[in-house]
Amino acid sequence: MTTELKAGLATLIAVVAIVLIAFFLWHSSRRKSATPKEDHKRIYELRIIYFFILTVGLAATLGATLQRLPYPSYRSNPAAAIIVKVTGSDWLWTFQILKEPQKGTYSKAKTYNRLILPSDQLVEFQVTSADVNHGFGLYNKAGVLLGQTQAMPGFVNRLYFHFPKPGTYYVLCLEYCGVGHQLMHAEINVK
Amino acid sequence: MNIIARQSPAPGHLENQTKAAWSVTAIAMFIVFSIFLAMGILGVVMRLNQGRWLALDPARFYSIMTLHGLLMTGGLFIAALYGAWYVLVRRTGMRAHAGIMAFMLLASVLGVAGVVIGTTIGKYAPGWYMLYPIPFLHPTWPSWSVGMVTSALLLIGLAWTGVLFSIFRSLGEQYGYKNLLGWQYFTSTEPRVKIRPIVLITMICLIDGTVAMLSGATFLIQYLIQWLDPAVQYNVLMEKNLIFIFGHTFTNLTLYFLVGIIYELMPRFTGRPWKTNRIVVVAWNTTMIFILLAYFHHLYMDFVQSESLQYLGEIFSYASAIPATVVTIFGLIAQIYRLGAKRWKFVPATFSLGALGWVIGGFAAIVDATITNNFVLHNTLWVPAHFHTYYLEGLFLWILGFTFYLVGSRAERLAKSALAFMVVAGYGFLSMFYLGGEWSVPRRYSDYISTPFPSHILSWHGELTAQIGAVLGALFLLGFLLYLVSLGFVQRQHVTELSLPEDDAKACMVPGE
Ligand SMILES: [Cu+2]
Repeated sequence: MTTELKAGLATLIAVVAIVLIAFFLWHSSRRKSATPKEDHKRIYELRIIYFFILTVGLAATLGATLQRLPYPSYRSNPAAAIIVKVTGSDWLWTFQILKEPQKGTYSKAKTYNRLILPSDQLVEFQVTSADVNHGFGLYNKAGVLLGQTQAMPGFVNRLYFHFPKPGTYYVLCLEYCGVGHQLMHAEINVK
Repeated sequence: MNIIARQSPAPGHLENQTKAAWSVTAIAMFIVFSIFLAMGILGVVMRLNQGRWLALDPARFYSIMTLHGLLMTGGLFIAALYGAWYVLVRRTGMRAHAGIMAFMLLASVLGVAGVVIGTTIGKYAPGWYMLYPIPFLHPTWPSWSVGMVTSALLLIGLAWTGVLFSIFRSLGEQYGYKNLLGWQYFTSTEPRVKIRPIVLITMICLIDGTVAMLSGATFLIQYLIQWLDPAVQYNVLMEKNLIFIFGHTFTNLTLYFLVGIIYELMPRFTGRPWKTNRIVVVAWNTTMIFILLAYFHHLYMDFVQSESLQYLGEIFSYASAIPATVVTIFGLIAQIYRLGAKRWKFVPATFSLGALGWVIGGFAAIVDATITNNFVLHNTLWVPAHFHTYYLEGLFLWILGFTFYLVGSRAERLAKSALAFMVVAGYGFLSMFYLGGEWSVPRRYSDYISTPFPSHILSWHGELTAQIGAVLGALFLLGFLLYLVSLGFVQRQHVTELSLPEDDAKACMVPGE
């Protein structure tokens, strides 16, 4: 299951729960309370329970989700087999392989909007920009976003990615960069 | 009565200043609703274009997008700011300074005119938060539009800072500056100077608002300098931080100013008190800090930003859910639980439904504020999905309720039908953004015609969600028009609110409202 799907599902479940609670409140509120003082007390007892559940739940989720972040330092073995310099500019992606792999097929020269990489090797994308901010969004053939990092002028963002099998992948720009933003895409052929 | 630092005003003074405040606020709401309608139509136009039912030039599309973003966030902030001010004047009797407020409104309108000219005639299109250095590099817009919109925004920012300080002074005079954060509740549960929740919440907004305005003014002035002298350049990461301290805080404050109004007005419709106590003070003082530190979640995909700040972003985004739901949402539940059908007027209904939108949008925001999710959701349609949720079905409903209260309309049934319409169409509209986000469709694309996938999967997903979204967005606007009609049914001497035992004797109601 992709992360997006999980996020979507979690949201759906939460929204259904929230709407059910809201519906219960609305339904119950059509009747006027005969014992407002007791109701009030019950709500505030419930609030303490909610506070503890929420705090523990949030802390647990934080603990779980902060374990593996997409940042370079979270890679146990950051020695990539291939290093690709990616430069975004209005409105084009430029690729240049800085560290060549030991084996496999790959783009030898500087390429534009097109890149060939070998499969099953750890790739380090060194993403930057020659002008404004862009977003390096990596998609698979089915149109699912697999990951991203910003392309910023004056900075290099390092994104590690492992393409397990040969296939076609796409790059879309994911940071608004001017009137050609929607045209700024590239194709990565993994051989 | 809590007036301690101020001389008792002359008889009739309170009533006069409340009337003046009423007029200024009514004008502000008229302006905001006009902006909302125009920008709403432009929003539908954008969805139509993304759905390929229109074919705008991309330069036009993106300048519309910039205008829509700037005026919606700005307009709704004006509604929140003036709404909170009016309720404070009316309910606490603080000094109104209606002249200053009218002047600042005029300055804001001038600024809005500058933004409109720059984005329509100049086709200025860097997006509403103008991520540095986009205004200056390879622009498709003329240089004058950069200077014009930047100075217009600075003017608006100055006007709002003036408003923030004016309210701060009035509250300080009324309650004593040292009491405004509610810390006196720590030394005694029944402190000598009690403050209403709206006073505390407004104070929190004033402090964070000052931070937001300072960071906003900093980057705008920097932009002006570079506009005058193109040799000047700034650090991109630094500017990004400044922009999002501003943008994030500013959007949150729009919500919180209105939350203050809800704390104050909800009891007028339920007859149940909603008072400041230690827990409320702790919740809002922590919120003040959490808002400022959560902004880092806008920079998760800037991998060069220090990782400890990324951690802080996620931790404080999560933490902000605690005071918001434990105190405000539970407080609201205590207000409405078994209220009885008779008291379910339009105003409390909008406040409650708006809170529902706030919670749902907030949950979607937390999903996206989780770094591992942000990796695949950032800058997809998930982002407009969540912020449109707490704008459109959250704070906008609150503004509708407040304005209904302000004008004292009696068209309950009409307004309720309009509300039902806006809720159904609105959530449909939003679900198309969520679905788009779920399908990895990028946001801020003029169209999805040239996305490169062999099966055109992304074009198909992007266009379908945009088409349905456009229809439902238009229906939402129809509901809004219906609501505007309901505002016309004003009855003189019609008072919908209840008075409570702890009401200040001198806080007055305007006759005829
Ligand atoms: Cu772009």
